[in-house]
Amino acid sequence: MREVCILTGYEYKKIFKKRSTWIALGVVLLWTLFAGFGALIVGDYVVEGEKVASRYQIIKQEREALEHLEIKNLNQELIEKAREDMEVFAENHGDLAYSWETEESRIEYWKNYHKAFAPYKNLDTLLSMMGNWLEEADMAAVDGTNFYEYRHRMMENIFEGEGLSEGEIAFHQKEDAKIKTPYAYGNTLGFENYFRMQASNFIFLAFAVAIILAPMFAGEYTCGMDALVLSSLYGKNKVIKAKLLTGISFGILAAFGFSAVFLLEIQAIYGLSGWNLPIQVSVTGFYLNLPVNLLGFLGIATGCCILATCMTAMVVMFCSAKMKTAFGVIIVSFVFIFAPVFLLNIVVKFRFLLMLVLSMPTSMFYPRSLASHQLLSVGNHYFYFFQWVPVVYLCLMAGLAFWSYRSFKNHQIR
Amino acid sequence: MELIFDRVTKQYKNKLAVDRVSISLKKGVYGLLGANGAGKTTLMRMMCGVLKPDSGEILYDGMKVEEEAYRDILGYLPQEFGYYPEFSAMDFLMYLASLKGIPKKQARGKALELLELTNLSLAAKKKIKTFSGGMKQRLGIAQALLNNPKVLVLDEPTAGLDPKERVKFRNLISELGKERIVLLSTHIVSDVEHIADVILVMKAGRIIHQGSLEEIMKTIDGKVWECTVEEQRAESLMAKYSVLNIRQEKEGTFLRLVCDKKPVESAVSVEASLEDLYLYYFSDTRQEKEGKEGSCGR
Repeated sequence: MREVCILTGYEYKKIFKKRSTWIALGVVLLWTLFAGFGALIVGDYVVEGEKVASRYQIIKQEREALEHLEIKNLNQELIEKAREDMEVFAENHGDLAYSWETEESRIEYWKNYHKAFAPYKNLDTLLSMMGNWLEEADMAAVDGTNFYEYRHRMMENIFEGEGLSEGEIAFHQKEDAKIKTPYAYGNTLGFENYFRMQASNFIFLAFAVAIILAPMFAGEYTCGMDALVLSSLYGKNKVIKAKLLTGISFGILAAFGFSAVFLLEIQAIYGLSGWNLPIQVSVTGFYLNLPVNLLGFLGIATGCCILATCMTAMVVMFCSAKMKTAFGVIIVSFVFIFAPVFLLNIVVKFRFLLMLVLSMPTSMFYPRSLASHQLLSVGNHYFYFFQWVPVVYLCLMAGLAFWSYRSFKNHQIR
Repeated sequence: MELIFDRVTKQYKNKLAVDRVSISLKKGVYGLLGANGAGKTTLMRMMCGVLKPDSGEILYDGMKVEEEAYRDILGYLPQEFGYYPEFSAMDFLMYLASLKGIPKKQARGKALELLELTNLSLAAKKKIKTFSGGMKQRLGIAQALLNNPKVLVLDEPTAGLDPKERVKFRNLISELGKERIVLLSTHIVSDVEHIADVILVMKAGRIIHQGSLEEIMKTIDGKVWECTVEEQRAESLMAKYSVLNIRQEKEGTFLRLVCDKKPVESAVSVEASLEDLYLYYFSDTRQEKEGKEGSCGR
């Protein structure tokens, strides 16, 4: 094992001696920073060409409002308070709303509007989402006494639309019953933004990992080192293990590292105080029946992202062992990583294809895919994607590692 | 210490690269001579376990070359010597030392010693991508010696070296051959002539001659002639025999050629060299002639 560790060190040395590694990691880091801090720079609130507030001011206002709520549950009281507050705002600022004589009054009006609306913006979004699935229902009638009843009807419509089996529906209903009502309500901004940008961040990271790991085996062929490596004592065993270990550990470290960077960014901007809220009060989790809180879901999502990155790394290394050049590996990896992004919308009506696409590593970067309603059934047991896909990945990774090992070991220098 | 090739064969599509080669190598320096495409590199690759023979086997003291224990006693310098451009010479040797299972402390000492031996001490920390062809070749030689191998395979080791370095390297190989099996292939006939205890002449995948310099030279003894003739006569001789050397002189065209009988009255029999033998076997005239005979035979 000691020799494998020493050789792993050298594999890392090879990786970090390449300029392409630093460029790829630099681009992903910039992207990650932009995904977080970029939101502060761009997207000022502008009304008729006049800047009302910067994006940062709005975020700060909303964060403060949500962190200092009087009512901390999504119940009748909260919905009524929201309506009352908005009515009061309309009464107090009604004049300004229709007689914008000066620029100052216009800006003042919208500033006050955002301030009054800040605690209820998320609630309003959830109600709109509900309305999308309850076309026949009068959303104005949702008053907190019937919010959960409406949500139940919404979920039934979703299940029907997705063509779920009776077993799946029963499973989801059981899951729904486990969620404590009324839902706790608070600052979901941090988690919401993390989940919203998670997929794009990880897709770029996966591609960067592919670029970095593509020469793992193929690089030996192209630079003519294969003969030297394969004729050495550890060339047909320990060095291959070291390469595989390097690829997997690099995938884990990169995914973990970038998740940590992004999470720190999110904490700095939006805060993560709502960690114990149920995922159902967030836009990401509103359509899901998974009974976990935001922190739990973050753990699931991050774990799956790390595993999916490792799976991508393993596929890349397998291609690298099989193909002659690193460039070919990068092309295949590009298709492997980006194809599911487009396929997801195309295969939505075909259950088998949908399950297949949803189980690909790129799909695992989408938080909603992890707890998708389509379940895997084994006997009377049902499993979410985040439960069965990791098991499949681990088996596949073991298989691919074995084939990569064999391919490089049996590589012939012609 | 014995390395045995037992009816080793390798075919690439329609080309028989190595054809039932059976030889036995013991302690000493073996020089493998052959034209491009004769099968030298293929034979060496199979000997190093990086290419599987289609049939036959190669054994070192009863051990298969595919085994890990064999790789432990092997030193190999491939023809197309690869490297990591961003690594320094020292990094490179340390990496290969760890691939060869040499402990770090020991490896550092050995690497420094070999860098000194190959005159690369001053460039130890420089990136390999900045090295000249000769420096890279010397680094290749250094890495092959890292594990003090019992079997040393050197494919074109002197390519790119200047005459001074070549002589130094030849002496080193001679020294190394006292304790181990050294097989080297080269186009530079004088290298083989000076250091090989046994010369293996390879042609079309087969070992056509094998023996010491004296033994091998017997095949061409009394067949090398020198003469100076008129231009027209020279042309007819060139078409008929394998010509080793042509030079225009005041008296006419000077020719050094190989043939069984005296080609012209004025021809003088001279002592043959290994280069004569090489040119005799691998000259275009002979290859063409053999090609025709071959096609007639078929």
